[in-house]
Amino acid sequence: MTTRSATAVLDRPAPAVRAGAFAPSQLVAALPDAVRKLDPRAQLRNPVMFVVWVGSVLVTGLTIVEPSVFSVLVAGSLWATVLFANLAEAVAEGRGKAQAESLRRTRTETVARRVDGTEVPATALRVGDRVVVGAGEVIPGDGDVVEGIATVDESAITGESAPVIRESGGDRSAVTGGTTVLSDRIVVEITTRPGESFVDRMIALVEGAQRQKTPNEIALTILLSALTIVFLLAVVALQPMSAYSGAQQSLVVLTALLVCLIPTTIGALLSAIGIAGMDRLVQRNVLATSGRAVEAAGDVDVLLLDKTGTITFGNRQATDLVPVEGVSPEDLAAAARLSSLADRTPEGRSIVALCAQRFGLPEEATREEAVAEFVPFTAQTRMSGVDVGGREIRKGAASAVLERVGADPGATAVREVVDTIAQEGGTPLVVADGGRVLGVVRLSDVVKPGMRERFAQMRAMGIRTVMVTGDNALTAAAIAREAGVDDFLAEATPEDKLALIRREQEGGRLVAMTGDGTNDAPALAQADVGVAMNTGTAAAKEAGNMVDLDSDPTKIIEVVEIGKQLLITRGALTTFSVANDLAKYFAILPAMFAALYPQLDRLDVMALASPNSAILSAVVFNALVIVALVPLALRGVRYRPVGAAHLLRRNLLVYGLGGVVTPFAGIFLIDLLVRLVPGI
Amino acid sequence: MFNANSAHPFENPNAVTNLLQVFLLLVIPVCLTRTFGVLVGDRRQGHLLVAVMGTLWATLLTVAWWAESHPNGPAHLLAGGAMEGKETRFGIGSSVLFAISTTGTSTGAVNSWHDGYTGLGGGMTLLNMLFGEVAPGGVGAGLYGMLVLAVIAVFLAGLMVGRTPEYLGKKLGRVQVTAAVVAVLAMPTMVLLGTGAALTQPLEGVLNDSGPHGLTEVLYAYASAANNNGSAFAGITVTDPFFQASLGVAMLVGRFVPILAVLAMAGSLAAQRRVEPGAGSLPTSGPLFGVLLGGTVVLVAALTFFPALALGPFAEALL
Repeated sequence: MTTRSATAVLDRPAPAVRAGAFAPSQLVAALPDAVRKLDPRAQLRNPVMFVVWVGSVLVTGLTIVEPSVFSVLVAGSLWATVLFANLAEAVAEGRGKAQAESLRRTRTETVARRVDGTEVPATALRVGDRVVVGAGEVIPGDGDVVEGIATVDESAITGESAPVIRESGGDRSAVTGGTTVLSDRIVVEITTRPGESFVDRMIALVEGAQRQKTPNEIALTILLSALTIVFLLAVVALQPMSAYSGAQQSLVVLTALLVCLIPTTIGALLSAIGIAGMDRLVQRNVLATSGRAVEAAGDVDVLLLDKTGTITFGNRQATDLVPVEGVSPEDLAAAARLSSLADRTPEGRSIVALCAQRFGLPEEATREEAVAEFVPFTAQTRMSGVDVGGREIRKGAASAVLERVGADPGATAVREVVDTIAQEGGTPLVVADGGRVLGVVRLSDVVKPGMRERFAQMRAMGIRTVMVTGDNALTAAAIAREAGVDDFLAEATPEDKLALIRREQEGGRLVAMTGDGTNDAPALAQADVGVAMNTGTAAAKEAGNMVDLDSDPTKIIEVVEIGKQLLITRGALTTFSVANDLAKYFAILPAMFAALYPQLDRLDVMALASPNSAILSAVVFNALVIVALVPLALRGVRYRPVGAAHLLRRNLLVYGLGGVVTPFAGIFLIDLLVRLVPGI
Repeated sequence: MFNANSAHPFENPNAVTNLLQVFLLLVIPVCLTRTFGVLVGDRRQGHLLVAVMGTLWATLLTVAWWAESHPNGPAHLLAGGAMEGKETRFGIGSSVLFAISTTGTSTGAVNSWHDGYTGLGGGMTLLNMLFGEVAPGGVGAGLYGMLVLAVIAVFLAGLMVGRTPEYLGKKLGRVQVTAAVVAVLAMPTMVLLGTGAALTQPLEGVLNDSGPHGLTEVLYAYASAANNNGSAFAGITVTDPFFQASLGVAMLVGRFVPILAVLAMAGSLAAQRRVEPGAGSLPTSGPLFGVLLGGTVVLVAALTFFPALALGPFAEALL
């Protein structure tokens, strides 16, 4: 059995440091991989770059037969184009490899101890095997705890150092192979075959080993291939036209023209964009089972969010103090505070905080208050409080406190207040001092700060948010209004949730949701994007197509944004790439035809030095623009949650118009340098 | 000499009948945009198409008109305009109006001799067909030309709103994009390969002109055949077996391959569930999309035919 140190050494750099960071040194580090990818078999996967590869070979051959400074430089630029494309992919892959390496160390030869006492290597475990794991031992495979309770260090998977509790039964029973038991002893029933465990899938994912083209990527590749064919035809037909007009063009020039016209920019960066998109998810500690799921996230129309923990804080908090007639708010606050000082529950602390905020009462107990005797809450008394200086202050459930107080004249008035608060979705706590009722503390769900703005953003993005809660309709409506969600599902059972998803999907809409319990599993499986919490059950994780290692249900919003960003980056670079062609025509065609028809020189709007320098400048620009856009491809185009029309206008302006203008400037500037090359 | 078939005095005696003919050329394709709007349940979609078609048509008309009224060359200057091959009954305006309308539809009738136009003016009639005959398109098989380009435009730019591209509430994936590119590529393939192959043939006795104008004559022949336009530029004799066969293939492929592709796309879209467009989906009825669609039409044609147009009409116009 390996010891704890096998996993404790895992160092996952903080996401904040890694996110989006791109250093030029990464290009250098990826160079060997890029050279290896010059293999034509690797190139065949990308039709656009394969054409460039063939062109490079052709021009190299022609250069050897008939060397000139011009053709040597063109050949060099064409090879650079292929190399830069490989570099982009290698850099994107390299970021995942480092992560996979650290994960792989968790799979070191763990020995599993079966319940029958036999010891087998972890790789020999089968589904259904029961293994015993004690303190300090590594859990040999994914499974469910069937016996016992233990604290587990899952930092190897989540990067989170605080241990978590795993126990048999319920929604906290799933354990992951490679994590370490810190205390106690559990029996785990193995639920996955070796090689298919969570860690295995994670490694495959970050390495991009099982990377398959996503549906949208395939469609885009078809379009790019079609463009390549059109340009191939245009260039092939150009030769007889040129011959008819007076002179044949050299093959070097025709190849240069072809490579400049075909969409090399997006062709080179396409796979890097996809890998980087997955990587951005991993950086946020979310694992997707496929690239398809990431794409679907961008298309989501409806977002189901659980109320508790997602929209509101998990615990109710004191939001109001309602004194009965004849009691001043200050008196009520003082009593409520005193009764809660020793109460370390979140509700108790929130009462002290409210009193401090509203009435300026100290948050800590003074010396004389510290001697008070705390009466803890029990299920029988349903109240807590303090005994101090002969006073018996109590707070708790209305019926319990009122019963204790007995015949208090204020009781009827208090009951009315209590009923109102309950109807509005709050939890009333009655405060009494001895035999006298002082008033009511209102506990309510508190919507997390910033949620309203986020939902407004979602609305602008065209996404409808639906809050799912077990509360009654009245309470749900109040919270929904406060949080600003579009809709809510009250008194929801898992079946209701599933039915809601089906209904939305029948309307053609894509649904995303988060979940952690086994009863969430059907809904997670039905949803187009199902994000399971890592703290959840194995069934939930199996059903979803993403797992959030931080178990933060709010993160689904970020997942949607990452999906959109991925698609936008692809679209923006495609548009940029195609728009570039106009300038390249204006550079190369006058250079080719000026000898045939001198009047076509007027198309040379950039006033390039000579035909050769014009063609070479276009090819060099074509290669350099790939490297220039690698950071953008890896980082992704900045996404702002605004409506589609606004996004389109902005991106068309930046990448469409920018794509038309940039190469004119770029080619002109490169020509200023290229014209200095002797022998051009 | 009744090569210009709609210039026959019995068929088209005066300026009024000429305008009526132009109206009749355009009325069905233009009205089909409304049919489309009604069919998809959103008339603005149809309005957008007709706006883009109208803008393209008006732009080509303006350029051609300007080119024909600002000629160079001694004969033209003497006449005050490029009147070669045009009926004096119609003059430049009515001739150009007819020429741009007939090359934007699959009519094929001509009331003037396009071969006699200036380099730029003739180039506009050619370009109109090379757009894919979409402004406003033919009668039977015509509207889909613009629709397929809309699919391409949506796919190219639609990703930039961060969703899988959608047109009219239907998602555009592998099948639709494949069908769209097949439909769009059939015509350029025929025109480019046909023109390229024809120019390697012995051209004595085939072409009236040498130089750029001769190249335009060949290009026009294949553009007209592959788009099933049927109009003749004139100045080229295509009675030998090579031209007969290759132009025939161009007609066959240029018409039926797009029809098959468009039917395949229609079938796949019909099988899809329609999603109501929301704030997050690409708006396909506003001016922004109009610019995008118009830009795509021009860009696709420009990128494909820039070299050919440079060696033909542009070289002639810039002389």
